[in-house]
Amino acid sequence: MDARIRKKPGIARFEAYLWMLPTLTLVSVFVLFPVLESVYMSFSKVSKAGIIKSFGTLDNFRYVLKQPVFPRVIVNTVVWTVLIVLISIVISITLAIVLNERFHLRRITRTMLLFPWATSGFITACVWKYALDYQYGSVNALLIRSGLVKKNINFLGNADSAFAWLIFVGVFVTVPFMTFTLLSGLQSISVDYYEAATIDGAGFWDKLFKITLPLLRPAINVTIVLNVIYCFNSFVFVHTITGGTPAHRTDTIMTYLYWMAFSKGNYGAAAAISVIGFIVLLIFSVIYMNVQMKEETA
Amino acid sequence: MKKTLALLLALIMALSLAACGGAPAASSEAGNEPAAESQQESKEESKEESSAQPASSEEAEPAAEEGPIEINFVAAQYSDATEAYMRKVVEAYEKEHPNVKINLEVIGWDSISTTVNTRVANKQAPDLYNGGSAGEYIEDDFLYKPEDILSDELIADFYPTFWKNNIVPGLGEVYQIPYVASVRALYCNKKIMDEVGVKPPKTWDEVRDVCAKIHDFYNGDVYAWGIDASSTEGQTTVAYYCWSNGGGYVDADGNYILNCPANVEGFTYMKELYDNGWTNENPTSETRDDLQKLVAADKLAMLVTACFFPALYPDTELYISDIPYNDKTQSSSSTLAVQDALIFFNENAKATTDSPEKLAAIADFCDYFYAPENYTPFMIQEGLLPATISGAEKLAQDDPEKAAYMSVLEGGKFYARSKPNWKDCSTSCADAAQNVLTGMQTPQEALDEAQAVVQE
Repeated sequence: MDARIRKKPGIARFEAYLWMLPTLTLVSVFVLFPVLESVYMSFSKVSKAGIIKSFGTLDNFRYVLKQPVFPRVIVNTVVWTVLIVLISIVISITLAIVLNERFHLRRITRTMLLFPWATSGFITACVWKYALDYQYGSVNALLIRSGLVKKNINFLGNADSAFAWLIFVGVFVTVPFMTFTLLSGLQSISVDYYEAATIDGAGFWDKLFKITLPLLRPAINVTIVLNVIYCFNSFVFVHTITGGTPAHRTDTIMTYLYWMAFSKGNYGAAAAISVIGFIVLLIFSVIYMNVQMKEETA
Repeated sequence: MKKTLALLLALIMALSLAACGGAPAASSEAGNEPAAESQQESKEESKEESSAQPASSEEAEPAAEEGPIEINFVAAQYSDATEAYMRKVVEAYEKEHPNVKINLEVIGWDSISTTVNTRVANKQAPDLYNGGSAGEYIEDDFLYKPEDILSDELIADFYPTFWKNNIVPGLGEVYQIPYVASVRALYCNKKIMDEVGVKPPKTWDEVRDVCAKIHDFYNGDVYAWGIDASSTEGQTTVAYYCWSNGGGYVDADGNYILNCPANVEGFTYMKELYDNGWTNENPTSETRDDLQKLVAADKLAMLVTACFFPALYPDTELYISDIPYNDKTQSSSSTLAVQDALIFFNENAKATTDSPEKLAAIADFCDYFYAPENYTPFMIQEGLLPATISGAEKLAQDDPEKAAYMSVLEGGKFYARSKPNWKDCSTSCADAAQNVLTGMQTPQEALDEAQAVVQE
């Protein structure tokens, strides 16, 4: 096709850029500038008041990597992200398939599923913090009244059980969004495939593994990438429920970063942690997308 | 193409993580709403009025050319009543000094440091700030020395113990003045102690004995001893369990001694109390507020906490005693005295210069604020203790029971807050206590790690 035919006259040529301008402005001001500032700060000597004194040092990174607890924080972040996404994807696929079926009160059920996602993260975190409280928590009260236990259980008493509960809460708030993303993917699959498979004598499992999951794969991929980033960056649940205690054993990168900046007053090290976190996410994104591209082209 | 776009999208979203680091985001400013009419008496000794020359400050919000001298004061919120009282004082002062306007902003402890540091980074520091410590700002040369701007009378009125505690090690200078003070003591629930038939313990051995009796009497349903090793108060564990054994944060020369044998023994004693099942279940996450509630609810017998505790729970009958000490190494108890400071930002942290008239107005306002008739009622309201001699004298008249704390306060030991890396020490002590209590490290390992952090 002749290029001259496609060329638009005058200001119309810049129409696309004009439409993009508000988004680009927002991204520049609220994402790009802070990112560059953080990267700059991470390579700078920063005073306790947060003033950049000089640029061109790796001291912040050395300091962070030297912290005995930092490897644990990285492991926590990876475990937190992977487990939440994996558990959530299994539950969400199941729920999406169920919600895709016709049944009585389906609409109300779908709406109810949205509640945990629509509620503010901070409120959800507070509710769970108090529900799991050792002294006055409603979960303990429920267990005791139902006769399942005789003494209160210290759910948040040690690092391992506290972290397990954090993951539970993470799954609780991740499942609704994931389910609805996958449900929209399921609804785009033509019923013709299922009808043809039924005629050919395919059972439920055949349809699930040979029609539903393969055709749902693009939606699953998007959901996984989005939720990995969301979980990795999640702050409010860990900060509210355990605050990273005991001794950072339940910290993730985001809460450790916050502690480093606002409890310890080391802004340079906090910036270095954010850059390290960015690199970890970058590596994940590149590897995941490459694997997906290879599988799709294979 | 789609895949490349998806990858780009993922990367842009990942970038948002990096945006989370760095300097804190600016908090919204609280409005200066008009307060109730002042009921404060005016100061008797009227200082020489500062000049009516307006300060040509760009930070002054009104654009008036001949406007009043503006003083920005960021103060910490001690209770729900703090702001109302402070506004009364400010309004009364402004009424007497129409050429001065005090922009008072009272901010909660959870965000005051972030808010002020954001402003400092943007050269919008307040003139007066109560909520941080000088150690954070000395290296940037952001602070006035109080002796350079305040009146000699006010400087002389501060208790020498407080003043001495504010001397920065290595510099020999003072960059902050005491604002409020409090002391810690052992508070025992009278009902529980009487039921069990025990008295407040004085020594470590007595603590063991009393804890065992309370534990046995209630079959473990009532905690005998409260430990707060949470992230906000975890540093107190060194004050409570190590000072009482001859250890502490620093030695006489101001050098950190976190892993000294006395501290290790103190932490071992704390762990013993926990391991015996005599303490609250979650000392690493249960805060002072949580534990105070347990004492008031007759679920916890003994707690070392601040002197404002009785005012918070007036219906709870308490025995008050000194923090127990190890009589095998010490001859008496050590009390933790805590002072919050007031600091004065200089021009390096602001966009404009401070005129001599403005500095005179700051000094005059401080004289007014610390005058006993203004300062002491504020301390009584908040359950805190005055840091001035004149304030303590008035306290003796107005609240003799509380005034008894003043003698304890004078002999109290302080945090090493004037050391520039105090925050490192404070957070490391909390981490060490948490590691010990959860069994992840021995006291020696935990304190060695803490010492290594503060020596970096």
